[in-house]
Amino acid sequence: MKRRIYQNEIEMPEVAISESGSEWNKTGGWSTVVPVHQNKRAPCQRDCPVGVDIPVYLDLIKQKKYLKAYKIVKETNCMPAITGRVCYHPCEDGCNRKVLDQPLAIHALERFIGDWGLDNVPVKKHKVDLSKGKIAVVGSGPAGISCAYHLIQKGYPITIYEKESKPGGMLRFGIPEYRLPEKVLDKELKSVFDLGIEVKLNCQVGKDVSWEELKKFGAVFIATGAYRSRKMNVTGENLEQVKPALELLIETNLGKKFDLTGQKVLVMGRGNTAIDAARTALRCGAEVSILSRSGQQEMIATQEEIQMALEEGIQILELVDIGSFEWIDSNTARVNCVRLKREVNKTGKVRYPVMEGSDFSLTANLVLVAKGQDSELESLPAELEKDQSQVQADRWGKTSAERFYAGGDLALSAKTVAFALGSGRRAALAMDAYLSKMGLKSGEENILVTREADLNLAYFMKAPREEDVLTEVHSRKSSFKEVNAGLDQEGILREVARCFSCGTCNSCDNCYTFCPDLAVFKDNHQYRVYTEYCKGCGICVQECPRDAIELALKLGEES
Amino acid sequence: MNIEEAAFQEAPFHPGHLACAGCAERIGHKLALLALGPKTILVIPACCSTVIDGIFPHTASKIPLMHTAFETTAAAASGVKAALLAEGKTDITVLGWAGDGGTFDIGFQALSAAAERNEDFIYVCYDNEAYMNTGIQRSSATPFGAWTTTTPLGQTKDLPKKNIVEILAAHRIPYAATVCPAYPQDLTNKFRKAKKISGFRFIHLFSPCPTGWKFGSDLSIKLGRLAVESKVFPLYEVEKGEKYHINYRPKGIPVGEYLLDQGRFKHLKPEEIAVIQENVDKAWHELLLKEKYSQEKEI
Amino acid sequence: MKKVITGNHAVAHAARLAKPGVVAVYPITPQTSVSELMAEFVAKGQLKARLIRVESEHSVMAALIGASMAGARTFTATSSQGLALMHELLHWAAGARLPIVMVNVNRSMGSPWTIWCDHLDSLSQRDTGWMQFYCESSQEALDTVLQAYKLSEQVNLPCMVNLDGFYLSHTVEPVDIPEQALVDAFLPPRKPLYKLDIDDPHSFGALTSPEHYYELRYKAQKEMESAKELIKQTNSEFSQIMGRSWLPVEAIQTKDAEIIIVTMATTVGTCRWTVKKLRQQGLKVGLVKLKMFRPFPAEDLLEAIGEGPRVVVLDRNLSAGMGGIIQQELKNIFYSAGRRNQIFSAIVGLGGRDITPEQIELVVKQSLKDMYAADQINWLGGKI
Repeated sequence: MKRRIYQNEIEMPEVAISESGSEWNKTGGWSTVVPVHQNKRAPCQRDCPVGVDIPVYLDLIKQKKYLKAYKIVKETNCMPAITGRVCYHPCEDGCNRKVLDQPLAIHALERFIGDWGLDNVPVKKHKVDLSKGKIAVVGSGPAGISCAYHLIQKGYPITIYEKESKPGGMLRFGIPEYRLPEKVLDKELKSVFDLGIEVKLNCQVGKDVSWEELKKFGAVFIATGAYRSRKMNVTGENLEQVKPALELLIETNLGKKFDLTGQKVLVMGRGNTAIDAARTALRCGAEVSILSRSGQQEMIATQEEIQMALEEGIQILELVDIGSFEWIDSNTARVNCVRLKREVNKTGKVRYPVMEGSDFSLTANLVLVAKGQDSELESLPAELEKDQSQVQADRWGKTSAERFYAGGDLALSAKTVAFALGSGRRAALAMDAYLSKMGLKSGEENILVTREADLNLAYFMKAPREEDVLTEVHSRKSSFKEVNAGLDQEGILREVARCFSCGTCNSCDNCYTFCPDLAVFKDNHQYRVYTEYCKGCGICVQECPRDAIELALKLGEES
Repeated sequence: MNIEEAAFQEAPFHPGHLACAGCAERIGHKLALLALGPKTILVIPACCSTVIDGIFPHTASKIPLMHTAFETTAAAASGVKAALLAEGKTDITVLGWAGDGGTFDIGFQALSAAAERNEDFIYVCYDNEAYMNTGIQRSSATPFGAWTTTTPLGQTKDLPKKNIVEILAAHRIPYAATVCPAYPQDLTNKFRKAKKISGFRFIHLFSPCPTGWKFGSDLSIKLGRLAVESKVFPLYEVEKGEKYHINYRPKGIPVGEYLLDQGRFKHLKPEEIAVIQENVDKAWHELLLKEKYSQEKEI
Repeated sequence: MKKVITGNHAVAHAARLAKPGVVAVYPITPQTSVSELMAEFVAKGQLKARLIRVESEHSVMAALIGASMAGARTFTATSSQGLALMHELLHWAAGARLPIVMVNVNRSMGSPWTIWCDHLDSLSQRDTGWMQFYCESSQEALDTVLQAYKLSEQVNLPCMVNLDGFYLSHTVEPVDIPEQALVDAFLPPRKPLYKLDIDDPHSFGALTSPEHYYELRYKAQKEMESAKELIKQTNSEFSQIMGRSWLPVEAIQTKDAEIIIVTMATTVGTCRWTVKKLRQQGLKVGLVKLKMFRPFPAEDLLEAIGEGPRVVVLDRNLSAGMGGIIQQELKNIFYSAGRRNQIFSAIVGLGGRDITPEQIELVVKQSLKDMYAADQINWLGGKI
């Protein structure tokens, strides 16, 4: 199409009547920039250790496309019903919504979709290609299960070796029933195993089966976790009234019932294990206090768990440390404490030095110590390089020994379910690359992350965050029933509507609606730009609520 | 929907038109035509839209478009409608689409007359608050304090903006409304509503102009939003000149936030901004009273 | 049907019979009774038209341009100040090639205020691209309006039919108002060349660059030139149906004339009487009635006047700084044709001053004696 210029009056109409449209005029030539629809990473995506594509699945939930949403989550996270209940949700801390009101309750949404998937999506056995190398996974905690899950999707035959009688690792033994019901755990694990993974229970590698035997496997992923409770290294720690907090949790999860009615229990620690042990002890009838070295706001445990503990009547003594234990009688110990003060030095580092002359004593019938766990390394193959408490492995789980990969609490200093899941997945990718002799494609390049300043908040209205639906405190204290009931469908839809969808286009049509030059068009649910007409005004970029479009310089233009 | 209607819904006019980058008139025009549909005839006087439509023998318009002399929009539209009615064609919308110069000033006489006669067409004034097509001269739609080439620094406009909607409401026309492209759903609703009403309908369309107001071309929608949020440009309707309905009650932001992003207001001193704020507040308050009074009258 | 009516009413009947779809009205003396009768026709249902009662003549023309562009046949009437107010839009209508027919009741221009007749109002618009006709009688005015529609719609140019204010507009004469059936036989419904059409959308009148404007003007000129012959055809068709004929140029006793008067409108009537009288006195006087002023019927005038006779042009107008308009145009075509007739210019009847047989007799006799210079303005009837 060209501009029409009549060459003779004979060709012309009698009046200035239009002959054709203005499409010949490629006004794109006016512009030195062109808008590019380019998804960026949302801070929640960036911060999720598992790598879940959060804005995408939240948008699908918004559209009630639950199956699609579930599939997105399961691309990276094999156990959303579990993580929705227990993960420490770093995604929520990074959530940009906090600039408007409160961060999104992503945990509730993940739990919802995980539960929905378990109820509605049947599991089909995945076809296994026996010509591919066989995989052994040692340990059926979150890391091992994640690794197995991702490798079975690629058709690898997999055997998981689990030394205990039931699978799950810390999920089963470390997390109390009222946070993660066994029924849910079993259902979620079954949905993974039913893909065709062989699980050998009561089978410890290095004892029931030798490491030599595992040579028949093409690659081995070791994720035996960390169960050795750390010592405080103070006098009296080996008194029988002083026990590792993890022990109470494991025993309770194995079904043992403790009667601690009227007992005074102190829990030393500031992480989730401390809170879990405290609330477990409470449910056994005890009167519980937690001693934390740091202030309450700086405890490592999630603030929700701390809140629930406080609601249940557990006391938290902040900035306290234990100096020594003394035996009083078979059921009582004296706990000698000191107070700490909080100091911030010039570089911003926080320290808790002892306050001189602040000694005081408490008595307790039981002291539970929760200072973290280390891994048991002796029974592992000698070839693996280790340091004091971990196996040395890189980001992809590669160890010093070929064929051996490691992940989860065994190899990471960040000992959380989410990190374990992420490490299992990355190890699976690395193992697949190794066995298929292909290069490892790192899909996680440097993609820009959408910050608050990149959003256009005019398009969002304040809306309160949905509160978790918790059992009333009084009934909670004496029961191991699940405390958090999860949100109902209306609550889910209200909450998911609050998602900004940072950096991820969700077809809101703003760029399409506001383009003065008809240069943005819709191609199904995607947008494209007619660069031949776009004048580069930039309104589409300005009005995108979620930073999914930007202006790029055209080739050859000076900036 | 047949192929032509579908194509119209995709793009109610052709790309390749000559509007400045970021022109809000085009956004408003697009949304208005999408709401009115292709059975519409445009009457456009001398204004930016004339040039935007392009040069003979091409046009950006997909519907019949009559170019007419500067002050004649309302009269020409009356004539077009009369001819259609003489032929018994009652289902075609005649749409006058004029700038503020051709509405508030030179076209005012014909506008008032057509309103008084209750001529059956929709008159849209897209208001970029000056004679932009001839290079930014002041009109009676130019707001207090604005720079234009005929109100340069040292003699910026010291008179208030004419309130065109109130003037037309006084004519007791069936429907008058304000719209802003930054609120596309409200705009669309009002055009759809206007289409169904018979008689004279007037729509005042706020049209931020990057070239004349001196701001970056990407801010046209943002400024439209700020104008509404600061109550400088309230969104409301008046039916039959009596029934007032405010469509949106913003929480309110200081006028300074709206004014100071625009080069044409950069010279304003704090005292002048305070005067503008006072006037905006007063006008808003009066509008609230009018709405309340019109509601009470019905009881 | 014969009725004794004013010229204004005669043209109103013509307009009614032409069945316009849209009529716009605005009052101005001495045209007002045209508009009033149109309104009455519409109110009584005798004319099924949309009547737009606009607020100024400028809007009259704007509304008619809109209506004509949308395909309707249109009509209005105006005078003097009103016509002048429309000036911008007269150009517009012609450039848009719209067959609008307008009756102009000739009235002189203020300042100072005047309501009486001369031709400056319509002749000042001679450059706007409208065809122009001048009528001697109410019958002629009625018939010319009907012929104007047919001609306009063929060449797609607007047409102004002029009547002398008060002389024709307000005096009553017997007029034969044709039956509708006869008019329908002569004048079919309008078939627009272009129109605003939902099913075939175009823009009209867009910004036109120097690349194309020139040729559009050329085309309009060509059509207007063709009207010089077309009007005769139209008149012939009219004559066959109605039995009356009005030529663009009428020659009265010119064959052996030594001096020929050239003039327009009601003055022609006075001249017919005066020529008869002067002939009785033995003077070889002739008369050429100029009915069609635009397009200027050069060939017909050259033929009617011939090579020999003196010519005296009675201009009921004055183009300040130049003189009479008709004489100017006449001298133009004579010079171009290489004719060397002596052409004398007389300015008559400005502001409604009566044009009398005495004045005409005087100027004829003095012209025969070559008492005027070629470039002299003869202020006939003025107290000068």
